[in-house]
Parts: sequence; C-alpha cells; structure tokens
Amino acid sequence: MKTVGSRKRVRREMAVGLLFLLPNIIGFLSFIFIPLVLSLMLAFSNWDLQLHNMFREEPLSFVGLSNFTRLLSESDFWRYLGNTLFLMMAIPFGIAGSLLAAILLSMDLRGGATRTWVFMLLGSVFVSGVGILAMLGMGVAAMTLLIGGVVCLILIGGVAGGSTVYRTLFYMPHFTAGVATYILWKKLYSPHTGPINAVLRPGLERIGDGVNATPPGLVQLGMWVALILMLGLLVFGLARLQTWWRNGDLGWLGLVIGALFLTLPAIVSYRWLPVSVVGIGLLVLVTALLVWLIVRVIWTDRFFIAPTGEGLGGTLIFSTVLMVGQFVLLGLGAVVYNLPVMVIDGGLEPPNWLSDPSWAKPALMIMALWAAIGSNNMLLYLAGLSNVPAELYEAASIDGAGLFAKFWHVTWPQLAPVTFFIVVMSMIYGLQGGFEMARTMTQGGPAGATTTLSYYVYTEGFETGRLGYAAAVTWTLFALVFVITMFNWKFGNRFVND
Amino acid sequence: MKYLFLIALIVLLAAGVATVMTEPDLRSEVPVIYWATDLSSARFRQVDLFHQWLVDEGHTTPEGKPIVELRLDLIGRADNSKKLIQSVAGVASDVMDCSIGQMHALGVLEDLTDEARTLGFDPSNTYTALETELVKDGRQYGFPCNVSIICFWVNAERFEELGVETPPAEWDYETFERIGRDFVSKANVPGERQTVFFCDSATGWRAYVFLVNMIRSQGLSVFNETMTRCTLDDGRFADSLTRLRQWVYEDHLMPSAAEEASISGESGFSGASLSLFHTGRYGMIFNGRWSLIRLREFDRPMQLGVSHFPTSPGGFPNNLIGARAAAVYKGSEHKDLAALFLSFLASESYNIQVVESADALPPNPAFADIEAYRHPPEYPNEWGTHQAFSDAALQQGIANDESPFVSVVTVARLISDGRDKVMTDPPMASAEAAAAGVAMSINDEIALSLQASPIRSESYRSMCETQDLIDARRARGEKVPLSWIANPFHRRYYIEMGWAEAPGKDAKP
Repeated sequence: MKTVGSRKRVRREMAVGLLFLLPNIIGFLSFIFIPLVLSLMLAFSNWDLQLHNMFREEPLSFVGLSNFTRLLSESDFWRYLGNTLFLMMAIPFGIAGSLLAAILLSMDLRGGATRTWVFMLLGSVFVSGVGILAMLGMGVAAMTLLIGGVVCLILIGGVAGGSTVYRTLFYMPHFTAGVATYILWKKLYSPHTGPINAVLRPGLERIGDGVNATPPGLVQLGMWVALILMLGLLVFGLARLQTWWRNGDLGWLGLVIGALFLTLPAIVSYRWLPVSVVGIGLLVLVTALLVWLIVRVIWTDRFFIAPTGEGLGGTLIFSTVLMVGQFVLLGLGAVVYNLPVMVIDGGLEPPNWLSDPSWAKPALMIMALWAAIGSNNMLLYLAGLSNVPAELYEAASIDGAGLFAKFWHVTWPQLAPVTFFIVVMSMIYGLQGGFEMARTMTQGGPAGATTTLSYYVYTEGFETGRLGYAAAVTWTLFALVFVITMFNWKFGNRFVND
Repeated sequence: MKYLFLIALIVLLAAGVATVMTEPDLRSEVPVIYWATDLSSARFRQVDLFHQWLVDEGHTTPEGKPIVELRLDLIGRADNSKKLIQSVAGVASDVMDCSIGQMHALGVLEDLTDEARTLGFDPSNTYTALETELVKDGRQYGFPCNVSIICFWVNAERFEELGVETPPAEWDYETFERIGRDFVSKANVPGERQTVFFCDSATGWRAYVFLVNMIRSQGLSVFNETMTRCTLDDGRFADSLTRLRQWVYEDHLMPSAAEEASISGESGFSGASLSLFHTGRYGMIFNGRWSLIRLREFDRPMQLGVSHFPTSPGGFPNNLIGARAAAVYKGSEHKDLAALFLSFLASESYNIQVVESADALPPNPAFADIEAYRHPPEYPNEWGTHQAFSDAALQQGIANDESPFVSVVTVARLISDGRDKVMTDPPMASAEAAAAGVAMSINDEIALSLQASPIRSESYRSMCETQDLIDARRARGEKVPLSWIANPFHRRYYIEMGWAEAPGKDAKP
C-alpha cells in the first residue's frame, strides 16, 4: 500500500516530467495537431482567401463533400495524380539502386599498399596527361578532363580510405541542398550544351548512321524481338503465378491482381504500338493466355489451399517488376520500329529533356533516381546488411551456393523488414513529393507535364486562394497514402514475417 | 539534469527578451514602416531619398528628424505567395509592391482615394492608361513606383555590321519577319547549329506580353467588354499562337525553350539575355527601359535603338503597360505615414531618381518629357531610345485586362499552358485546340469563383446583362456608351474604331 508521501512524490515527479515535456507538447499541438484538425475542417468548407480572410466578412460555410466531389470530376486532378504515379515508377529502381550501392559499400575496398601505389601512380599519370593536353590548347575537352580527374580522385580516395570514402560520396546528394542539386541538373540537362546530351549525341549519330546503312525492315525487326521478349516475360510471370497458386503460396486475391498487373502492358499496347494489327494480336494472345491460366487454375489439383490474401505482397513486387519490364520493352519496340523514319526526318537528336513534355517526367525520374541511390535508404540497407549473421553465409557456402544464390536465399530475405520499411516510406514520399523539383526545374511545365499533386495543392492554395479545395486535395492524398500503407502493412508485413 | 534544463530555459528566455529589446521597431524613436519590394540596390537609395524628402517637406519631429523610418522587406519578384499569406494573416508590410488587382480581390488594400487627392498622388499624376490598374470600383488603391512598357531594344551596330536593315520604330509582322530572316541568315553559318537569333525568346512573362499584344493588334482581348467571359476561343488567338510557333521553329527568329536553355543561364534581371544582346548573339531583346541598368555596366557602350511591338498588317498598334505599384496594407498601424510614402512616389526627387537610374519609366509622365530623361548627358548612345519608351506608354499603352472573377496569376498560367502545348516540338495540340482549351479553362475558373460567392454572382449577373446590351447594340451597328465597358483594351479600341458613344451620352443600363 502506497503511503501519502510516496503518492506525493510520484505526483511531483509526474509534474516535473510533464513540465519538461511541455515545450514539446505545446509545439506539437500548435504546429502539428491543431493545424491538422483545422485543415480537415477546411476540406469541408468553402474557404477561399478572396472571400474569407480577416478583412472579408463573407460567412464561411460548410459544403459537405462538394470539394471532394469536385476533385473527383476535375480532369486536372486525375492528370496530376497520373503524373505523380508516373514519377513514382522510379521508386523500384531507386530501391534496387540503393540496395546495390549498400552491398558494394559493405565490402572492404581498402587496397593493400601495392594496390594503393598502383592506383596513385596511374592517377598521377592520368592527371599529368590531361594537364599536358590542356596546356597544348585542347580546352574543348575540359569537361572530359574534369570528369576524368574526379574519377581518379575517387578511385585513389577509395583505395586509400576504404569504403568510408565511398559511403560519404554516395551520401553526399542527400545532404546537399535540394535546390542546388536541381539547378545543377538543369545545367546537365541543357539540350545543346549540357554534358548529358554531349555524351548522347555522338552515340546517337552512330546509331543513326547504322540505321541508315541497314534496310528499314531489318531495323524494324527489333520491335518483334522486343515483343517476343515481352511475351516471354508475360508467360514466365503467369506460369510462376500458377505454380505458386498450385503450391499453396498464393491466394485468390494475389492471383487476380498479379495477373492483372502482368497483362496490363499488353492490354494498353494498342496505344503505343505503331502497327494496330499487332496490338490486336497481342490482345488476342493475352486473352488466350488468361484463358489458359484460368483453365489451369480450375482444373489442376492444388497441393495446398492458401487463404485469399496469401502471398499478395511478394506477388505484387514480382508482378510490378515484370510489368515495368514489359513496359520498357514495349516502349523500346515502338522506338526501334520508328527509328528509320526518325533518322530520315533529320537524324537522331538527344532529347530536349526539360522542355519536351514526353521527356520532362523521365528527366525528373532520372534525377530522383540519382538522389535515391545515395539516400537514407542506402544507409538503412547498410545497417541491415551489417545485421545479417555471417553463419548464414557460411552455411550457404557449405551448401555450394554461388554469389547470386547467397543473395537470393540469404541477403534478400534477411533484408525483408528493411525493404518493407523503405517501400512504405518511399511510397509515402513519392505521393507527397515532387514539389521542389518541379518548382525549381520546370515550374510544373511544359503544359503541366510535371505538375504533381503537391504542386497542385500549392497552386490551388496560394494562386487561386481556394484553401478549402486545396485542403480536400491534401486529405485525398493522405487517404491514398493511408490506403497504400495499410495495404503494404497487411500484405507486405506478412511477407516480411514469412 | 533538471537544473541543466532550468538553466537552458533561463538562457532561452534571456535570449528571447534580448531579441525583443533589440528589435529595430523598439530602438527607433519614430514609427517604423516596412516596404515589401523587390531585391534591387536602387531601393536603398530610394529609402534615403524618402527620409530626405520628409525633411524637405517638413514632415519632421520637433528635433527636425523624419517623422517616420522606412525599412525594406526585400522579397523576390516572383515570390507572390509570401505577400499573399502575410496579407491575409494580418502581418504584411505597411507598403507593398503588388498587383493591385490581385490584392484588391483579397480585400487587403487600404482605400487611398481621399489621401491621394490631398497628398497629390491621384491618377492624374500618372499615365492615363494605368487608371484601370490603380482604381478598382471607383476607388484608388495604389500608385506606381515605376511604369513598365516593353519594347525591342535594337543592337544597331550588329545590324549595320551584317548589312541588315535596322528595325524601324513602327512595323508590322511582314517587316518584322523580312528583317528577321535576313538577320539570322547573315549572322549564322549555314549547316552549323544556330547561335545568333533575331531576338530573345518569348518565354515566361515575355510570352504573355507577346501574345496579348498580338491578339490586341487584331482587335481581340483576353476577356469580353465586361470581363465576364474569356474570349480566347477565337481564330485570332489561334493565329497568334501559330505565328509565334512559326517565328521559333520555321523562321528561327527567336530561340525555342531548348535553345534558350542551352545559351542562357537565366539569373538576375533578364538573365543572360542582356549579355547575349551585348555580344550580338541576339539582335534585339524584348525588355523594358530597366535593361539600361545593366547595359550601362558593360565596358563598351552600345549603339542602341528601340522598336515598338509589331502589329498585324493594318492592325491596331498597342502595347501592354504595367506598373510596379505600391499599395498600403489595410492592416497597417501607420496607414497615414504609409500614404506619405506614396506621395513621395509622385514627387520630383523620386521621379528624377527613376529617370537617372533608368529603373523603367518614372511614375509621373511629366518627368519623361524633360531633357535629363530624353538626353542623359553621360549616355549619348541612348539618345532617342528613352523617348521611344515614353511614346509607347503614352500613345500605345493599354493596361492588362483583369477580370474580377478570376485571378490574374491563374489566367497567366492557363495561357502559358496553352502556349506550351503549341510551342513544344512536336506540338501537343493544334493552335485551335489550345486556344479553345485556354478559354474553356479560364471560363471554368470563372464559374468556380461564382459558385463560391453569392455576392460575386450577383455582380456577375448584372455585368452579363450589360454585356447582352453591348452585344445587341454591336449587332445593330450602334455605338456603345463607354461607361458600359470595363475592359481597358475594349475601351480604347471602341474609341479608336468610333464605336463608343460620345461621353455626354453615357448611361448606365
């Protein structure tokens, strides 16, 4: 039984504790919780800065769901949501890149004394060589010299300082101010004088010469090769789904969604493919494959019966990767088919990255990919890799596992919780992001091609002043993030725990 | 640990008190007012001048010091959101450079009609064309810090060197294209990438001015007479977009967005355009009188000329005029002192400073007619150019048509989106489709703003009734009372075309 004195002491300690927490609690309430609640209320109001501010007396009214219904019928909203989702297609590549970077950086790269000296000697020879070239007046190659010099420095630094040097270098984009890197990339993307196009131009010229020297029919065969590869991916994917289903690793939901993802590229191919008959042919083929899958599913005996949602997380990752692969092949096929015409029309030119509506989004994705590789994701993977028990690798070696087998059966499953966390966070950032990048580099253009939902919130809130509607867009975005996170949590988490 | 926290708390509190005690407002013996303006070194000189003017005009304390202290709140020209948020939150600067139309729509500007009359900065002290920009619903809300009119600066030496006819002061599209084609063909090496252009690119705000001037020269405006409907779903807007595309992609008179990105760093006033103009890579640049601020910094003085914006053949000469207008914030604690600053903007000392620094046109046109403006003794190479700018402002200047039913920023963005669709390579849409899309988007925005406010809807309905009357009169070939027309372009156009009723016959419908 507690005495009066001890109760007093507990109360006093509680009061002191609360006093210490008070600044944080006040900050949280003032800057997070209350604004959050207010913004939710705002989403159901007609708050328009032109009508409702401290100098305007028009009454603020509750408009129910009308901001949300307007949003759903607004073509701009869907277009900008599409832009946001398109940019998010870089996420899997970013995650793969950061994983690869983490694996490379977890290796001990420090060279022995001989290797260090060899690299330093080679570096000195290179630097002296480029110095002499510069003195001889070959200043045109200044950028090449600079890049060469930097590569030398990195190699020497890495050999001398070990992976710490590389880890720092890889992480550098993350702690460099965003706007500064965006301006840098704007320069890199400069169509006529930027180094990216300077590198692409000679290559494209050679490809153009090659295409010119080849009969058009032969070049266009490339499309068929791409389509065959695409179909190969589709068949492989469907077959895997069917196997997982039969083995009881996959439930109904995963099977249906996985099949839908896998067949999506073929279904929309008629919009991309230059020959419409091929598109129709693909549709027929996909229908046949689906019928085959359904027949196999219905008529084949299952070894184990899986619950409906079983294996959904893994299947989603699997089918998304294959879907993106199919889209890439489809796009490549279309480009190859049009190559002879493009060459005749004026040669192959590198893209006008930021001013061409078709290239502006990929340009931003490439930049985001660069930033993502050396981001916090890489650090998380590095931490995850250091926690993988060495015994597992030893056991795998004893079983005769090669490098890839070790990665697939040891590293990847061990990193599943980290990957799950990274996927969830990347999707959240992906849905919310893109504002700074678009504002600095393209101002949402050309013609709205790079306007993301967050940019849309900004223009609606601070350009037209419709705060109620902007809040509705924000909460819709939140709902999307919430649903995707819950989905990840429900299915991805199970996959992680498995 | 708790003592450590306590010490930290005390230190923070002391720092807070020290910060408050050292606040400039508390240290000043006289009231302090803030001026939200753009980042320019000229502003510091203008602040000093204001303080001197106060003393000269007797606005002093018993000790003979200025009765108010002016401080700068420097905000990037493009960053309008800061002013907007501060205004609606009640913490904006006392005086701010802003779009009067946009801020008036928010209701955050002080009505200065009476002060303007008393202190001598009513609209009669500036360009007549700016009245619609400064006066809203019959009340005055601001006064120009300077006046902008955009013309083509001509690098006369470059034209002479290439043996190309120098652009005349007034011209039409045909002359513009003829001289332009001749210039680019002689200035560039055939078969190599084009590096020299007739003029700089029509992107960003320049594109807006280009398009507005182009459609107005054909008798079209962004809005109808009563500003109730966007009228850009018109062949004349589509023609203007097509012509702009032709100038970029067929005639190569000006760089495309991609070419511009390759040759221009875009930083500072007018970015790299002025350097490229100075070095002869651009034969002309489309810019204001303020270009001289930087052109005067170059070592070698240029032989300059000025051409007004070309018109369609037989078209209506016009030029979009605008003002960097200063307004007084409704929430200011020193509105009377802030109004004094606007009075200073109409004063001789301020206008002379603008004349000498070449920071656009002086707010009072009388100072654009003095010798120091027309023939600055230190810059004989500029003689003749200054007059061309003030002539353009006085004879051709027409303010922007700003509908009270849609934000000017939104209109500019939607027009820019439509322009982008035509100006990308390959184009995303035909000029006709883009024109129709722009008009539809702007009219949708109007519809949305009407849904939000019954008061606004009421005023819209009444203006639509007036528009019906105007349309009916025009259909019958009758004249229209000028007071029915709110659009500054149509007001001017109706007068020039003889479609406006004599002022005595003005009548409200």
